[in-house]
Amino acid sequence: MKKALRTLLYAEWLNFKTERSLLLFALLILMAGGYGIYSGHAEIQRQRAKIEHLDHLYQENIAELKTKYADTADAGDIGYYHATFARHMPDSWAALSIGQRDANPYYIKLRLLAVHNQLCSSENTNPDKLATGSFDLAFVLVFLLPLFIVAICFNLFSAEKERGTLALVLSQPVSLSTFLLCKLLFRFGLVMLLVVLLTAAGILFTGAQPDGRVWVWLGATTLYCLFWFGVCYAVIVLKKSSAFNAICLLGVWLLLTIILPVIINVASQIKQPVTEGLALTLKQREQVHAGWDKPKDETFKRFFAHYPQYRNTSPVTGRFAWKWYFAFQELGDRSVESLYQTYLSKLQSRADWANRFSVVSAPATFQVLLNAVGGTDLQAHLAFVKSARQFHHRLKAYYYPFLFNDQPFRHADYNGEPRHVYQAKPDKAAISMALLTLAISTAFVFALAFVIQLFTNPELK
Amino acid sequence: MIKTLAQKELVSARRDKRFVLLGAIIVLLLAVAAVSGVVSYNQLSAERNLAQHAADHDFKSQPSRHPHRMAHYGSYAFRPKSSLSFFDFGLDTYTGTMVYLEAHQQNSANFSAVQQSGGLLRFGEMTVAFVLQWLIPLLIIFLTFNTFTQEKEQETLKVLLSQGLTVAQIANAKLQGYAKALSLIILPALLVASLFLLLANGLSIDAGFLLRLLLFLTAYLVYFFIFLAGSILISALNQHSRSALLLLLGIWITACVIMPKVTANLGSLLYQTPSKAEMDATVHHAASHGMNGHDPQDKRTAAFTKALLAKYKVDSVSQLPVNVDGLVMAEGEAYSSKVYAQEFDKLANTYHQQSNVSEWAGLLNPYLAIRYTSMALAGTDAAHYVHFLKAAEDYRYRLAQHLNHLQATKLKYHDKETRLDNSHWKNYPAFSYREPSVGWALGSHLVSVVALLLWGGLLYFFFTRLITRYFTL
Repeated sequence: MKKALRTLLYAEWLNFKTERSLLLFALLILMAGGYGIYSGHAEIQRQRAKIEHLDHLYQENIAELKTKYADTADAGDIGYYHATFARHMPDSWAALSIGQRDANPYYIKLRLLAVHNQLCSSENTNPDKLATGSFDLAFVLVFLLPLFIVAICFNLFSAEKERGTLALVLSQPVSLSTFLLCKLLFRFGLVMLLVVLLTAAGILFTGAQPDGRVWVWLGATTLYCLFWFGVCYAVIVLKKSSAFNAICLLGVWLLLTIILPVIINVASQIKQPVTEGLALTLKQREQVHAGWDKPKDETFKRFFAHYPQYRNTSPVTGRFAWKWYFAFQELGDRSVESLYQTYLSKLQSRADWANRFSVVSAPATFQVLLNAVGGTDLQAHLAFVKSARQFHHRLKAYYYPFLFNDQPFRHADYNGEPRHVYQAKPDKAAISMALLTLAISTAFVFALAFVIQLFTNPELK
Repeated sequence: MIKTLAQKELVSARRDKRFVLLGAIIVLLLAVAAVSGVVSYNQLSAERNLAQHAADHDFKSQPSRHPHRMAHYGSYAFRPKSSLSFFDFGLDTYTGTMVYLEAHQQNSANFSAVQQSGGLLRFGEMTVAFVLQWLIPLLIIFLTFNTFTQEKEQETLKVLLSQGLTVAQIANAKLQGYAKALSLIILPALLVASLFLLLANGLSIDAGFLLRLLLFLTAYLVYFFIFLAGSILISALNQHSRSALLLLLGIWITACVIMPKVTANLGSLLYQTPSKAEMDATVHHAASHGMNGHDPQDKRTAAFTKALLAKYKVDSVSQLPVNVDGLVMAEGEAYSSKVYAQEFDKLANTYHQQSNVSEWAGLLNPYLAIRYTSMALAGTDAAHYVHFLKAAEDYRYRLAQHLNHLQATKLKYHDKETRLDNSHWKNYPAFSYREPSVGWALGSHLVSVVALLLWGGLLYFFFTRLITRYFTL
């Protein structure tokens, strides 16, 4: 038995060496993977360069202000004219799965003003490029690898039948199922070889940290490949013609990688519309601008309730003072805070809803997993925005003492201003959830294939 | 005889379980796409109309204010959904929906759907265009890949040829037969979808809209013809059904899945866009130091004030019959807006260059050609987006200058106290966006339109010739 297995595998190897189409497909997937790694890396490098360039803009802005306010300045002028940045540094794995990183801004320009509208601002991106999506390694694995598996497996049985070599095979002392398994095993080995090659190349080329995620990545990809081999097997044992198999498998691919995720997404948007964004920005404007017309006493009374430490600072008597201006900016923020929290939680729950239903599509689950590994999903962006929000609090904590204690802002004080860099992190909870789901999907497909084999082709046993 | 043959293809297609099943699936998906399209179109339209009305109402009901306060209070432009967008969402999901319009600065368009969604959105969208662009070509391939090869394999073709028919005649008959079979599915589906569209549009039909719809449907018929003729051609030139099918599926995967991604990525690798922060800094720098670098803002202001004093023949600004504050501000706004417009044009041009890689690839790939043509007709392409952004910026500029003008004419020099009453805001026209004409829309995608017509034309004129020349039994 073992000897037969070895002979069969060796025969497959000889076959592979001579059959050009298999070799060609393998080369194509390697090329696509290589381009995916390169293009993902280029995209993330560009983001890194742009984030680094922010420092230059920051220094330029400070130099300009130092010239404008040669000696000391009113901290209010600085708060108004000075801009700093909250930065979202990509994780070292981001280049392999760009996820939502190209669609969401990876830095936020912040001034001391009311924060919510600043948090919602967006970056210059070509919508056409966004709509087509990134050609990263994740795309090759999620979309093209299944097509490769289908292309090398769909006619395993039918081709022998159509070429008339089946009788020859059956006359040998091996069962048909051993024969088929051998062929599948050989192909699975080939696919895994390509996967390991591409993953290693990806890690080396993009400089991804070779931590535990290597095993998560490889493990998940193995499960995903097994899933598709299971699908192929389930169709092969129906023993239909090559044409039927090709159509059937492409149909399954289309259903799982495009149609189901698309329908889930549409459903999530119709079922859970998020209108708070627009409402929030309108309301913030009303609240902030109303500050101009409210009596100053009232504004300060509300403000000091949150900042009792400034209660006994010098009162504002004239028409305008920066401390009053920033007080009503902050009150504007506070008045939309609950709306903003609703907005964030609705975004989160809509994404969660969609992720929950992505159980029905292994490709969607796999993509969710890869984005979580790279720290490039919506969660990563929301975590960044949250951290940017806290940064704005730190900025206020730095500037308010200058404003309320009427301290002059000296040139040296620019150095003391807090800075912000948020390092993207892999989403561990999402990873384990997706890994589990993927394992269950794979087990389900194998069970399905087994049942199909049992009912349609008992003689295969 | 040809009629009979065409009739035979039609009848056998209708009896083909495969065709009936796939056709039913496609009609079902079209229905899902149309219904979800209408629902989300209504949802988004209502949301934006409501927000636009709320923003306009807020502006119009502002109490007495200093005009420059109103300039900072500002206004909003919400991008209305174009009526055909429910057929083809195009880039709508990836473009900002709202721009805050205030004095002195140009803000980004925010709240695009993609920023408010999880990664699942990137798998694509369920729209009528998706079904028409991806799935119907696949249906055509499944239906016709073996139309010649099977007859070769079963040797029925020889019988036909021995009747004195030429291969070209048989091919034409097959083309007619399958076209009829397909129209049994496609035409009613499109008709129903168009009805949906008219209903969603509140039955308000104007000529521009009808023209867009008509051209939209025509473009797709050309696209389907390309796949139908191409698929029959490949079936005729292949010996085995299996090889014909694999070749066709390979073409479909390359055309619809792989190539668009490659060209889009290539475009963005070749042409780089500046970040928004970088662009703002450039605009700020050019506005304060002068576009040529030797013309700083204070020098410009001094020269402007001096010219003003000379014009009115007075010695100091307080003697001017107009308020110099407003005029200086207007001058500054004009200058910085000019700089911004320049930078924005550069950015839009870079986007255009990036997408051009894909558009020119449409000469090789009809999918790309129909993609851009369809988006252009639906008013959901990048050009329409840029058109909206420019309209919003234009409105912002006019509003800011209107308020500067009020300050110059109704307020005294250095007057920060006087407030103008509500009538000044109440009567200012609200932002309203008009979609550009069909000609403009297609004009910005000439390459794609030509590519589509070229493919259709070449296949129409050379279909029989190619088959006659390269056909082998």
